[in-house]
Amino acid sequence: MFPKKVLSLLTSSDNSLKMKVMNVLKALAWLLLLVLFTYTPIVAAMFMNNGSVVDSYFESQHLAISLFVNLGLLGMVLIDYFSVYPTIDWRVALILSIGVFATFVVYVHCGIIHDEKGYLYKYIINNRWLSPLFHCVLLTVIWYIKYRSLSKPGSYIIATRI
Amino acid sequence: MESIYFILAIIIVLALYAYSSIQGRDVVKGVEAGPIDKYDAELIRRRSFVASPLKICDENGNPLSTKGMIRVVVCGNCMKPKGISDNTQLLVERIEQAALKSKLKKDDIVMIHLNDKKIDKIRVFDHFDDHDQLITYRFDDMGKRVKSSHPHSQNSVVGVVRYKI
Repeated sequence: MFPKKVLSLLTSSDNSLKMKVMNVLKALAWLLLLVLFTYTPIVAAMFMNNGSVVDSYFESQHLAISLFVNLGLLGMVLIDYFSVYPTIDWRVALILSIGVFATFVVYVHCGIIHDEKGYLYKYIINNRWLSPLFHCVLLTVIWYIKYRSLSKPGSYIIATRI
Repeated sequence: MESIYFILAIIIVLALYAYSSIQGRDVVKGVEAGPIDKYDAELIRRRSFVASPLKICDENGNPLSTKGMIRVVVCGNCMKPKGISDNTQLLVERIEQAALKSKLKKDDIVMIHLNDKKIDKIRVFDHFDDHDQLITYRFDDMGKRVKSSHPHSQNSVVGVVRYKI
């Protein structure tokens, strides 16, 4: 299932690297589940022969409920973060701000494309892939905060050699 | 549409299974550390528990590989002079019988399985006798060495205690 190099990292004696790879994979698996559960109209369109994934994407993401869901995802992952860390550092705060910004970009851009039939998009934003790109940014932000929650260095227990 | 939900359900079940496989569980087994004629099998059984795996690092703060190690909890005080008291958790490195003689050193603490009593115990290894059996000892309440009543066969050795956590 995984390339040999990834497998060798998983079985490596270098536990620090192994832990990092494991946490990256865990966060990815968590994100996969999140996407499958949350973006059901898009996932459904992927399996339907007559459904266009891109159209379904713009159709679903221009709704206010999608904005609510995307912000909710950020909120959920932030609760995970605060269950591990007592405070938020500037790096996570910056990344979180990027996530919130990306959420609104997705909402507004999808709204422009869907409602104005490309009129505004043609003159104001001339890139159709802007919202999918920012959606990837949002998912990366969610993945990163989850990864940080999974890999708190302070949760290690010190073992004494006998 | 139903088939989509069915496929999604299968993917989710597989993902959950994969996630739980990665996560894993540690079975922390109780091991006897006291005179074997006074052992309490019920206490050892009650001390055993299932727990989430720990992230363990060495004294220098470097994350430690626990691959091939067993996590155990001690019942008894016969290893107190070695810094191991009742309820201490240990990491035991599993050792194959073939590699035992080369890996085992004098004063290593070994985990031994007693097949007749269905328990595990820890003892300090002293040397191999003429029949290649292990001569071990423990400590009494005063901290004096007490030689084990009989030697242990190599195939009864589960592993060697490497870390105290």
